[in-house]
Amino acid sequence: MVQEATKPAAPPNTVTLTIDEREITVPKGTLLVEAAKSAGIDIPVFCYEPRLAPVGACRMCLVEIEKMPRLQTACTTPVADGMIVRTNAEKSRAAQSDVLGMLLANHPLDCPVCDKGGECPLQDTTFNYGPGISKFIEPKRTFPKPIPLSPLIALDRERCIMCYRCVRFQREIPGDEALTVIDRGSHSEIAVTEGRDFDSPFSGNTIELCPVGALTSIPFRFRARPWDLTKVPSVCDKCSVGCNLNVEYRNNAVLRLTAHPNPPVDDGWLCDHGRFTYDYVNDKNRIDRPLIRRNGQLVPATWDEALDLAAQRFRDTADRAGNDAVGGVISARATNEELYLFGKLFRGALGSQAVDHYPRTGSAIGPFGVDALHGSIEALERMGTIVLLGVDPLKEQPVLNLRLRKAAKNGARLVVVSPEANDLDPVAAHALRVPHAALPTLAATWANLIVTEGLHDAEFIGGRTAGLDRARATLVDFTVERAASVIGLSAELIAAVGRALAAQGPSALLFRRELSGTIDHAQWFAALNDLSLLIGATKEDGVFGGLVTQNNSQGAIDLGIAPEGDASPFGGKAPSALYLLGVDPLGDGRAEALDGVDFLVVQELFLTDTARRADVVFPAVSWAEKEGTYTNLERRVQRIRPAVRPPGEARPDWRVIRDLGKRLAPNGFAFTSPTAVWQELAAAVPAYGQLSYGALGRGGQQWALPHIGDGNGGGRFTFRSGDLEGGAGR
Amino acid sequence: MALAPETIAEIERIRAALPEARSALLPSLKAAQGERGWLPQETIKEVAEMLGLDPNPAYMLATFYTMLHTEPVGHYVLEVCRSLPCYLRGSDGVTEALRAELQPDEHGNSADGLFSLKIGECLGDCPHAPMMRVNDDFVGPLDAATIPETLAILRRRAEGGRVRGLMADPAAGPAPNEGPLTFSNAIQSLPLTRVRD
Amino acid sequence: MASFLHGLRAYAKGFATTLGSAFKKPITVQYPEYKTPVQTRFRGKHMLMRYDNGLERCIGCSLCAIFCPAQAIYVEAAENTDDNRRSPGERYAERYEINMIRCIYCGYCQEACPTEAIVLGHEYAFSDYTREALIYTKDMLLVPDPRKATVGAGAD
Repeated sequence: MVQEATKPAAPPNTVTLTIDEREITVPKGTLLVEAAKSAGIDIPVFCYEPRLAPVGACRMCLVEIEKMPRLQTACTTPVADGMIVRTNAEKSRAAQSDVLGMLLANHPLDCPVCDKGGECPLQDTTFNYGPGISKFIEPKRTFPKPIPLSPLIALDRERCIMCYRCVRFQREIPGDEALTVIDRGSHSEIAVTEGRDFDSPFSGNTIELCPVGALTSIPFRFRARPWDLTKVPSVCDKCSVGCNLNVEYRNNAVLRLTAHPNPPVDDGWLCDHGRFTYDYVNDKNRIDRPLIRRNGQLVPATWDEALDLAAQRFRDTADRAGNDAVGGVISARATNEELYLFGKLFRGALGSQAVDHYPRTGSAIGPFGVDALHGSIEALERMGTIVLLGVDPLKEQPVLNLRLRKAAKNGARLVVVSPEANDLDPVAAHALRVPHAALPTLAATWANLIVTEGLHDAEFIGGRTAGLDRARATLVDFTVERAASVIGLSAELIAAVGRALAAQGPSALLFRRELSGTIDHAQWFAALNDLSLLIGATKEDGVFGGLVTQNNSQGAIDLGIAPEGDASPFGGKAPSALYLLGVDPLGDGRAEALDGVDFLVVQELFLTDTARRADVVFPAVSWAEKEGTYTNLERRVQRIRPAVRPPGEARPDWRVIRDLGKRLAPNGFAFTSPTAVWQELAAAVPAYGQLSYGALGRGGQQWALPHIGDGNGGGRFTFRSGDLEGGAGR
Repeated sequence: MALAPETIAEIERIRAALPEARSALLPSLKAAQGERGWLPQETIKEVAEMLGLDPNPAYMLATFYTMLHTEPVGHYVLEVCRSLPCYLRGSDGVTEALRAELQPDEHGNSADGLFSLKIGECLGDCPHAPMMRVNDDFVGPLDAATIPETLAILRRRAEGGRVRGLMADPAAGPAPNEGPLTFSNAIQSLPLTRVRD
Repeated sequence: MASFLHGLRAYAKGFATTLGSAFKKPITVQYPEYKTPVQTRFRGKHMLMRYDNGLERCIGCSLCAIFCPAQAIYVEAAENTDDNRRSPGERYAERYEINMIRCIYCGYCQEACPTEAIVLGHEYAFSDYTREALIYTKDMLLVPDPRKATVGAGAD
């Protein structure tokens, strides 16, 4: 009683209710099942999934609520003040047990052969809440099984309990309706239209969502029981989003990849490309020892022979033809540690500037003066307006596409400008077809429109930016009418969309860094810079950035693994000796990159066309076999961990670079682990110095952008269109 | 297997009358079914594409509603209600009598292809239980004893005109959309039956 | 004197026992020429059973392996196809190995098995010269196909 008297008043927008004799306070609108979860009370569910809209299809979560005549589904009932809920009273227990009995009436007893067995919510829930013995003696419904819905996913209709999680996922998250339900009542089946595959790029998520073994992975089919697998949390290396996943292996073979939810990055989703691309790790044809060319043939060699030969020839070439005659190109998919060592090998040990990453990311210095995204992936959910210029995330950053759809669902107005049909068109407020070549004009036109009509936030522009007047002089020529004639869209449409951009609320501007065709990239970035300031994308709550494509493109930018001037080993004059790490110019149709190369060192997983031409081949290791960090498109540095051992004599890539460094420099390469490399890297790169290495392995950490325009007399954002020579007319 | 021009015009009319493409799906499928009495996969796909929708939800609707058929059906689709009121008034006897008379195959089609027998849920005509739906009309109350007579009336009626469905002559092409069959003429002659307007 | 007689009596008693036993039926047997019969529920070498139609009972579910307290069982499963049907249903054991020197013959595998595929038999003599030879593979464990007249390899 005393406690009651001293109990602090509940904060506004919360409700207090009693679940199983425990009083809890949760935000208004919380669903009962979530409220119980927050208090540590388990309500069994099948169809409920927090990331999907509730449907109440499975009836598993029935609970007793005082003053309500019948049991209610906890997954669809929002909390109310003073509600008294019993989840474990006799009535709800009996209902839960009966529902399970009904769900199991047609569920086959094939758990021993089911791939879900051992990690199956139906199994677990039956153990916890179900009847020990079935009331049903009738024969179970049978279907031919399994039927492949696609090359990746098999459907077992007997096991399905019709929770619709898969159908709802496809409808709500990627929005592609790739699955559907046919027939009705007890005859309902999950299906796709005949003659069509379950062809969603996110289909693999349904395997994990399925609470029974109805949807299972075909590549993983019968490969191992869940309890046989060892899980190692890591980060996907297939694109720049950096979704977290578990590498699950047995007997040193990667058998499957599953989501390891890191909500700020991936919301717990994976795309099929990330989830199912792992066979190459187990491939028997991987290079498993160093090779050197003897009498025109690549023959196996010891590590010392190969390293000595490569180091010797690099040194000879540098001495003979100058330091820049030794060049190196490293894959943008390498870890930060490898990138750093690679840079140190060339700049430090060899004194060469001919070092680059591939595929090379075009520079996109934003208003912050650094080449990185302002804001975060998660912040996109809170945007009022999101402008996408020339980007199609479904193709290059699939899971980011899901986040943008979520943003649209949360009320963000999407403006999608792309040269061809974009997956986001149906959820966009405005979808414009504009060729790449016209994008700079369009951005400048919108900037001009906003400033001319005074639609911008005058306080922000006045207080925290500089150079608007100069920019205006240049922008003024970019009239809507002129844009209309260049782009081929109506002036009214361009003006209407431009005005929509200026609407209040947090805004995001995401753009393609490199446009195809002959583009003046200086004008492109100046226009983007100015448009972002005018729509407020650079404010604290905004998002602004050019999307990078590779899993560690951002790391390569941050660590400066790009040549100064025209010393690039690719595109410029080819060096005499070239070291390629995970790069295959012949396979990518860039044979000219090897013209004039006398001595080629290739570090690769497989004997690619380029490796076949090499003088020294080092075996590389895959991302599942090494340790290090990746920086994703939002500056988040995340740690990957080794799961399996590399084949044969293959050594982690950082060790190979270090051993070359040891042979080429008297000191500076005495690293004993990737962590040691990180420590030096963090000391050398200020942005990375702020990060805590421990946090990188637990969801990662974003490095902080410099503060600009904080209103305290510090730096201001600068308009850049005025810097362009010749102004308009370009 | 393209849709007939009249059907396309009808679907366009339906689409124009409704705010959402998805709302137009059901009436459009019904209109498309008029062509041959049932909906082949290609037709479902075609209708969905006409409306700018994914074929999957169209397939879902076509299989969900018992008035839409995704397999060939006879000229007459008989859907006997098996829900409680009809059951209590003897719907199982009616079903048995229909089965005995029609000898349907596993798809429910009679050997002559004139009838398709389906078992359905409540159609909301409980005052006339036990009842069945014959294409677009409700017939009831039925009596197991007079089923042969009822079927004979339906057979006689079919002889009069061109038929759709399984009995249709493929060489003759799709039958014209006759619109819903009406039983206004047959009402009086059907023993112990009543057709709701 | 009395003590001498006392000692003599002890000798006589002892020899009487020996002499008495010499004419009893021996309880030991001449192993390996003769073997004592084992009890019905004796747990010896494992056998992987088949159905009468020759299909393997084992479905490769690995429940034996997870139950095994000595971690002596290794299973890898694969999918039956129409051309290569090894067991009823979808799944069969592609590899099935038991490390006989790790095994403690507790019989838990037999209890865990949902299809009564693994059964501990009565054979107990399988010593060998290397540890590797005592990792029994599936062909050594599988009983012969009852439909085939000839006895398969590895069958006992």
